Parts: sequence; C-alpha cells; structure tokens
Amino acid sequence: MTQSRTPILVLGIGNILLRDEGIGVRVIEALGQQQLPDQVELVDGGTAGADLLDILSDRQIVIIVDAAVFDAPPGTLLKFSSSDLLPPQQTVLSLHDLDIVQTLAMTHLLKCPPIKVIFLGIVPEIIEPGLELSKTLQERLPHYVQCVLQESSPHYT
Amino acid sequence: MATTIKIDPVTRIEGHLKIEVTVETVNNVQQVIDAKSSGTMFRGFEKILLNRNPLDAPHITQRICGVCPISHGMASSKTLEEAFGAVPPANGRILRNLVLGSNFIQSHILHFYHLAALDYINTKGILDMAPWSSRYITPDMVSGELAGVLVGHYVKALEMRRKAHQMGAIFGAKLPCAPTLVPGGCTETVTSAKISDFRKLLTDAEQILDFINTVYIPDVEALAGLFPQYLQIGRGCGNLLAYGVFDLDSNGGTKLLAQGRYTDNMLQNLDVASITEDVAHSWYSSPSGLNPGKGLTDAAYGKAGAYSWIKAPRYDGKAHEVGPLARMWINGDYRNGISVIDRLAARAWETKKVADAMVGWLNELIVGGSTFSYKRTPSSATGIGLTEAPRGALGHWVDITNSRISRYQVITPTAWNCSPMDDSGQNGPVEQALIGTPVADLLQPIEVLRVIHSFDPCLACSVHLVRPDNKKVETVIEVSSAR
Repeated sequence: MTQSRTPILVLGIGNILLRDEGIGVRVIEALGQQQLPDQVELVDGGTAGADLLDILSDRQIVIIVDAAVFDAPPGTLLKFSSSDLLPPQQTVLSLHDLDIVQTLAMTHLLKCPPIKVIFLGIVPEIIEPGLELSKTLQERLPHYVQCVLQESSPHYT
Repeated sequence: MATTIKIDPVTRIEGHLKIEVTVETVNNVQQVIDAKSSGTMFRGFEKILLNRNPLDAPHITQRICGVCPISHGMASSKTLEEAFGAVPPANGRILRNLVLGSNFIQSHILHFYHLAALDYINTKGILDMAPWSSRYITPDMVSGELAGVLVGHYVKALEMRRKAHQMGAIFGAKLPCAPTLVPGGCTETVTSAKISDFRKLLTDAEQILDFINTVYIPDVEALAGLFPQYLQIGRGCGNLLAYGVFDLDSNGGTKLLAQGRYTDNMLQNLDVASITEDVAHSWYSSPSGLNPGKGLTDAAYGKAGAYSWIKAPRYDGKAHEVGPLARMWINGDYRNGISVIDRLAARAWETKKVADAMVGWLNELIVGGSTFSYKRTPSSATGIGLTEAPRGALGHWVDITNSRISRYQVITPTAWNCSPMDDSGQNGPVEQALIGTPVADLLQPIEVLRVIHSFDPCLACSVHLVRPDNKKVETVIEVSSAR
C-alpha cells in the first residue's frame, strides 16, 4: 500500500483488443523482459479509468505510455506533459468517459498526485478489432522500449 | 416545434454512448417525446475469440470493458466451468465473491459521487478545477453550505475508492485486470495476513463500511428528500431482470442476490432460453431474434433503419431493465418504486448489503485451503456463464469445438438498458425512461442527464487514446532514428 510505494511507475494504457490502441500495454509487456531496478514498477493499466487512482497516487515519477491522436505519421512517438493535453470533456454519460486526465486530477483532489508525469504518446496506424499490432508499430516496439528506459533511467537513485 | 438535443461525448475518437432526444411542449410541459440511444462503435470482440484456446477467454474478455473487467472475468470463468464441468472449491468461490464485492463497492460509490451527485450539486466556487468546473448549473441544484459538505464527501469517496481497490487487489492480484480469476476458482492463496488486511480496510473505523453507513447512504437519502419529483421521473419499461450474483454454495443454487425477473408487475422465474437479441435497428446483417447461444455478430454499418451497434436483448420479446434496482427488487430488499431516485437508493442499499455479507465471507475462508479445481479442456462442449456486473446482468455464451472456441457471445448490462428499438418498434429501457421527462432549459438538459446517469451506463468498448494539443507539443521523438 501507500507506505511501500515504488517511486517510479511506468503505466501502459490502451485496449489490446483494438490492435494499435493497445500499444501502451504492449510496451509494458516488452519492458517486462528487461532487467529493471526495484524502484521501477510496471503496470498494465488496460482500459481502466478511475481504477488507476490508487496506482497513480504517491509516486515520484509516472511515465504513461498510451496511443495518442496527433497530426504526425503512424508510429511517431511524442513526449509531452499533462498540460499539453486538451482539456477533459465537459459532459460525461458513463464512467467509461473517465479517462487518465481526470484520474490524474483526482489524485490532486486527494492531495497525493505523482510529483512528475511524463506522457509518451504513440500515433496508431490501425485501430480495429484484433490482437496484433500493425507492422509499423510492431517493428518500432524495441525503439519505444528504449525511449521508456531513456526517460526513466535519469531518475534512478 | 420539436427540438433535437444530442448528448455525444466527443473526446474519444469513437466508441461511446450517444443519446439523442427530441423535445416538444405537450400539455404545456416541455418534455422529451422521442429518444434514441446509440452505441457508436462496433463490438467485434466476440470475433477475436474465435478459434482460440478457451482458457484465453477470461483474459481477453476482461479487456472488453475498462469499468467492469472483474465481472467479465467472472462471467467468462463461469461459462468455461459449465463447459468443463469444473466446480470451484468453497475457498475459490468465496475469494471470487470478495474480489467482485470489492469491485461492486468501488463502482457504486464512484457512480454516486462522480456520475450522479454532481448532476444535483452546484459546485461553482467550491470545486472550480477541471474536470468538475464545466458542468451544467441549473437553479434547482443544491448550493451553499450543503453543496460544500457534499463536495467534501466526494473527495472522501475517492479515498474510499482507493481503499476498495487495494482491498480487491489482495485476492485479485494485479487489478484492474485480475489474472487470478480462472475457470475452477481463484489462483490466489488464503493467508491469515491477507484476511486481516482485507478486514481492516472493510471494517475499521472510518474505513469502507463506516463510509457506506455514515456518509454514502445518508447522502443518497438527503438527495432523495430534496428532489422528490425524481421519484416520478424516469420509470422506463417497468420490467426488471437479474441473473443473480454472489454464489453462496458450490453449485450457485443460492445467491446473495437471487436470479429472477419482474415482468408485467409480477415476479417470475428466469429461463435463459427466452432471451433473444433483435437487430432490426442495429447495424448487423445477421438474423434477428436469435438466442445468444446461437448468436451471430455480422456487421452491416449503414443498414437502413439502424442507429446503434448495440443489439436489442429482450426477454419473451419484452424490454427489461437490469442493475442494482432490478437485483434488490427481485431479491425483496427494495420495492419502493422504479424511478431515477429509486435507482440511486437501491444502489446504495445494495452496497451496504454486499459489504455486510463480505464481512461474513471473510470468516468462512479456510487458511491454506484449496482455492482452485482443475479440469481439462473438453474437445466439444457448450457453456453459459451468468453473473452481474455492478451495473447489471452480464452473460457469456461459449461453444467449444475441437478444443477451440467456435462461438462466443456476450450480452452486457448496457445492451439491456441502452438497447435501441427492437423488431416490433419497442424502445429500450433508457429510451423509454427518457420519453416523458420534462426539460426546463433546452440549453442545459440536466433532467436528461439525471435519467441516463441513474442507469450507470457502461458501453462495452473502450478506446482510451490521449489527445495532446497539436499546437503545444514540441517534443516529437523521431522514429526514423531507431530503425
């Protein structure tokens, strides 16, 4: 629980049933094959929204890997911060509409937000039912893993 | 003159619930005269399962939904148990009840405070940060000191949600998707330390049960007292249905919340053979009126007369509402009425009922006892797994041929509640609940949201892309460098 929080969290989110939408989770799976220090925790967040509230809370560094809608070629990896995101939607119809941005806002309400949040967004090529990544993203998977390691390693103590 | 209001959350690129209502003044009251509920994304997940190892189903189906993965894992495990002839030992059954119970508690608390209560509270000046600052503000909303108290409880509710998540993870392991839910039971072991951690989160002072009893239920009752008109709004079809949940014995014959239905004002038994799915108004070319055991999912986007990716499940051809009110009504725990407020109240009382039962289940666990019974995958079999997600009845149907999945069908609670019209032109439960709802201000149709939210809809398809602002992001890590 909170007392024994691993300081660095790498959180992959997305729906693996929709091919490239699941890239965040696929990066976590690939990172699982690497030797990582104890201070890094990998979490496959799936498509969870508010379920991530506890997982995000009380961390030093959170690196979020997710698919990102962006005007760039498929496979491009972008680095940005929470303040670069478009504001959350105004009308929610269901708890499904509760996304990572809102869940991060909740950690602020609870006064336990992660100290630093880095988003790594990957532009998807194919979003349709299916478990496999597109060839473009599959080929670049090792690169994405390297990018996550590059972002996390400066914070190792 | 009729006006059409579309409520369509557009942040995500696709895949959400869209509600369209037509409002007109009838008998001097401006009200909803027609409603259309659409699921805007093809749920092709069932096709992904074809020809796969049946044991993949609990893992894959947990990914269908970002809000109720536990319930899908449970339904899928039960489906395979029926097909395999596996019976979980008592410990396994109880552990699953505890994991699902934790999920019910966190979902219900979040529903009330995040989705429902904010429709009734003017948070201006109290909670001005995004995403809470931009909702509708109507004159009937609670404001002032009471609003401040309720917002304080909202923050407290988020804290409880964290605790309920920690509690579920004790036996569910890596939540949100629980790898420990498997056909035959649960793969987590029972230790006295785990039982004690679980019990503390549930029963210690100012923990979950305390919050339910002293904050959640009193808040729901206070709101019910302030908005009595919502006891008359949003009744809907009036038929209720529950598959039942929380098995109290090994064959599931006795459940904490019983199976049954309330059709045409009469309590009756449920026979799954009477469930069919119509597609006249859904984007499918597969035949209409099939039982899910024979169900097919062939997409036909643009089909004339269709307006949703959701099929229309019916029992004996009739629309039925599912959810906490249906469960509590059928079980005899709550029969005050069927309305917006009754849905909120039944959900709160159900939270208490489940949490109280969990305290007893902890006492039934046997430390070190077996939690799992293994059966080989049969070469050919069929199975039905019926359970409940927090938001209502959830069923999975499987056919196994040559030890592979040859058919997989899922009927989610939101398919029951948010279904479109069926072949006979009968609206779905949410559509029926919306028709007749008064709307005071066309620019702020809060009444419509209150009705929709009371059902706790959850469309079984999540697309969780983030949307960075094209103008703001400066760091693009060039992909070519890595190749």
